[in-house]
Amino acid sequence: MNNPVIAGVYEGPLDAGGRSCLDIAVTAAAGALRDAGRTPADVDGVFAVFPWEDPSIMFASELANRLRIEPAHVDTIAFGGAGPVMMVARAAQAILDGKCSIAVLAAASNRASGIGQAQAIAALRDVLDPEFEVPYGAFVSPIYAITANRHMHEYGTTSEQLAAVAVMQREHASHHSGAAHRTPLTVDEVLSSAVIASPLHRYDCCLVTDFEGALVLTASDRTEGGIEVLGWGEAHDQLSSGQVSALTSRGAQRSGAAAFERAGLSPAEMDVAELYDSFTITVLLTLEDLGLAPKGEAGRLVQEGRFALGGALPVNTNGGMLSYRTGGISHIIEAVHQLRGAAPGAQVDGARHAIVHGIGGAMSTHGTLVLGSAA
Amino acid sequence: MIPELLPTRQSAASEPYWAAAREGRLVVQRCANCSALQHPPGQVCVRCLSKDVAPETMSGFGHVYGFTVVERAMLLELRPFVPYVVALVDLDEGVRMLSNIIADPAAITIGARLRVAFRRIDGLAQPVFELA
Repeated sequence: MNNPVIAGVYEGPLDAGGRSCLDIAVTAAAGALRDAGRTPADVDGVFAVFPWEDPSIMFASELANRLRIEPAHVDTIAFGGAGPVMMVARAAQAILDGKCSIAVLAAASNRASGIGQAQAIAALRDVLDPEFEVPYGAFVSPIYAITANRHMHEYGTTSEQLAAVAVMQREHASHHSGAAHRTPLTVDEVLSSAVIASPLHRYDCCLVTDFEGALVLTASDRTEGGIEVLGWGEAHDQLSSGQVSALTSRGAQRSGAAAFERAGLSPAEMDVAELYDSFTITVLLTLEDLGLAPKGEAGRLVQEGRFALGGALPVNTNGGMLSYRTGGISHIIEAVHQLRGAAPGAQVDGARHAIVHGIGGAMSTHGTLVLGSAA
Repeated sequence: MIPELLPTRQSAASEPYWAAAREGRLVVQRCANCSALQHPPGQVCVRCLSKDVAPETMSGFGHVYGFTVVERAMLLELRPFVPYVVALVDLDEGVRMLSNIIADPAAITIGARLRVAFRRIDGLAQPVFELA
């Protein structure tokens, strides 16, 4: 096959030290190039996720400038939380199309150590309509809360099942020394934590942390071994939840189907899943929409341990955004670690195929990747 | 209306919506060419692209599609207002809109019947809903 190959990855520390997003992206890119055994002089493609918390007009071009290179192809990717997955998808397509052959992809955020959590959360209001949504006090979390409310109504999903997602991911994070939170969590602790927007409690909500991550993606003939990008897909629902016909059936159905089709694989062939987890409901809905669980049954299957380490399909093996760190780039890097058989935390034995899903907006923008260890 | 969150970026086509609200009417734009309803209002009908779109007064009745009781505000400005209810409301005419429900949260269920009301502040009126 001529699938693009992930030749290197790098993830920085949890605390980026208040550096600018450009500074963080440079160290991320350097780390991934080092991991791939490359230098900037080899690079002809530069991709970066737009850092809304520290914006600049030509972010990826500035990253190329800092690396002192003049690439053939540069792209700044702006899809909120779906950015990292979408970045890999767009870079994979660019490589297949011959626009570049050795690309560095970076995602950087100082949202905790730079602008700070309160300002980062406040910035999220821009995702919603300033005239017809924001004036009602509707932000990202209430929209996800309404989604959970509908899922409970339609399928009988319970608060205990949502809590079980947070508990499971905390257990996963406990194996990883780099995780933000490793102390065991119980269902009772989740349910007795403050209600943010009913039915979502504090521990149903993801962390707000810095992130510093990068990958080197190359054409198949430029890397020995590596992790193949087997499939990718994207789908874009309306940003405004009032325009979405069913809050419990989202774009992941379409992005996932496209990724599986390109990969020539089915959901049953996945060994590990790294799924965007802004909230616990996000994980349940995405498991179902990707076909990794029957509709309405993801909550029960989480409780039964299907998605825990040691289960049939471990999900968010580093603890995800609920316990490890936020951003979405970590999902991709963790999938690569798993497929390399060298996870820093818990390793899923013999993992050959991984699915990664990213979401932007309030569940509106979807990107899916299917990755595989080279046969 | 939450004063700190007055509509900040009024769109080119929304003046008739706010004018009607000040008169105590909930209007939704209808296309004279293809008869589609659309909310929020736009400059053209996004179904057929006709510019012949005009506000039509709704019955003001609908039901709860989904809702949440916000207890911890994401913005400092919102803290004095919690708890408040954010809901997606399906109007009887077939349009879904995001709004607030002014009611005891414990009395709200999916499917509950609603009637429009208007919250007034600084010469503006914002459509909200009450249990019918």
